[in-house]
Amino acid sequence: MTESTATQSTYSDWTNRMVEESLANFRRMSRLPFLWQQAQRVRKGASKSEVVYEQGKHRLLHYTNGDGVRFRTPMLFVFALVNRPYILDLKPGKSVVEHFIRRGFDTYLIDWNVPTDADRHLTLDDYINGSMLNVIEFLRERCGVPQVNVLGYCMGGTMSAMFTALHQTLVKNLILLAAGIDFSGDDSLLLKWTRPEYFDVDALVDVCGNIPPQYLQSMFLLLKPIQNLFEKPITLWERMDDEKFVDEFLTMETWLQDNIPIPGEVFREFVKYLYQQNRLVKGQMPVGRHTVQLRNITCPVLNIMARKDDLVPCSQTLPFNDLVSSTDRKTMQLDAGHIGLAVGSKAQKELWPAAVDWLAQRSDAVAGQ
Amino acid sequence: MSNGDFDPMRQFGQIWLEMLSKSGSLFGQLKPGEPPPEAARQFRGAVFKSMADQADQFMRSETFLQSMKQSLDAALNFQKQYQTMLTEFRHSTEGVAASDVDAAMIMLRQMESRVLDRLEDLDARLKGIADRLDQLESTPQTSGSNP
Repeated sequence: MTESTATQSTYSDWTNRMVEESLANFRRMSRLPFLWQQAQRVRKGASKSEVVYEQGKHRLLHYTNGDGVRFRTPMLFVFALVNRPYILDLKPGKSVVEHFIRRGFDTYLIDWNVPTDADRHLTLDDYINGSMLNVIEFLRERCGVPQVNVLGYCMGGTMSAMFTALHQTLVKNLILLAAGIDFSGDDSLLLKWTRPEYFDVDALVDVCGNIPPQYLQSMFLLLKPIQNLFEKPITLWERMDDEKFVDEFLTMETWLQDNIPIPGEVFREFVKYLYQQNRLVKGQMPVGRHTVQLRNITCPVLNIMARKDDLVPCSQTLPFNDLVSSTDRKTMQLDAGHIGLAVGSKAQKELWPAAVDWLAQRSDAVAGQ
Repeated sequence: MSNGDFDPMRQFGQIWLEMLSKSGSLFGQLKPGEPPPEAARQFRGAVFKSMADQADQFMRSETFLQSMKQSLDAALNFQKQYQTMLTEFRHSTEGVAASDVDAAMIMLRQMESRVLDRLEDLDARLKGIADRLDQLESTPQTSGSNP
């Protein structure tokens, strides 16, 4: 092939690709009006559930299990107070809850619901020694068992760790999912932003009461501004033809934008005692009249974390296993981000089957199974 | 640079230097037949990566942290003044302000916690009594005590 023929062929390749790209852009543009409609149709939560207990705004959801229950001890999911809990049951094939149901666990989830101005004075004590304790007492009575399994995600994980330390006799196995425990590091942006010299949490709570979801959302957005504001919309634009991608993108975005306010006093306690004073690892974390001592935790512990987590980096979660008295403790790490830990395809294929196995090995089967 | 002051000119120059060096190495790797959209995508990726690194550094800098604090303080001051004004207006018209509801809520919370604390104490004492009763019941009767 002569040099001029090669140049001609490259030139025609380039021209063809330019035409293809332009046509693709027209196709994408024609799909734009339907994107809004598609976003409205996004379902929140995949598995069938019913409310079995209510206390104020807090609800306990029971996932109805078609395959029957194979383990005596119920499984309780505790989510953070920041977002909605349906990220744990986002859609079929991307649901953490589904893994536990399929394996035969009697599965429950606490939905903290949306706090109103009347809830601004609720404290961690109300959530941990109030609602969580009542829910677990209810489950013990309903299922006729002395203990329950608890899985806490993010802030819900920190709360679950505190609950277990205060009420160890009620928890059979504890699973933490990206739960902040040690806030002494300096690698997370949130830790930097919440330093007492830059962030007056008292002033914010005193003026705002509940922390507005827009404020929290903008903070999360700022953690990765280039990815969130530029790369994400461009990726959506380029993959607009990919039905599956668009569906997953919209489902994920619907959840991400579905923020709720966080009760002011809880926010104050969480930021002041944990982010600013790191009291949990020091054994000085007050919850009502009690002080949390993580060494009181003796049950089997599974600590799950994501290596690329920018919200709760591994340095915040890793120390937990060394602070408890449990002899049966395990750590699982995944190459994913904070949300990928729950909905990522790697998590669905590798992490959750292994986590469910871990729990099944430590659970009593229902008589006759 | 993560803790130091943020020098905008130096950072701006660094962004461009990084972008140029990255795009230079990128163009070196491009095959002659590779179509332009792919090349553009790779270039864009390099630019975004460089911008993301710089943004992260900036958001850790003293300059950003101070400006974040100042803007939050200003917003809160404004909100506080607005709330004070509303409260004064409502009180002057013999209405109920949000701060009044809040004060009532705090009073209720204090009463609630006092009651709950007492209940918890009672619960602990009852548990202690029950434990002692269990102990007494399980202690074997001494022989010969009955006629």
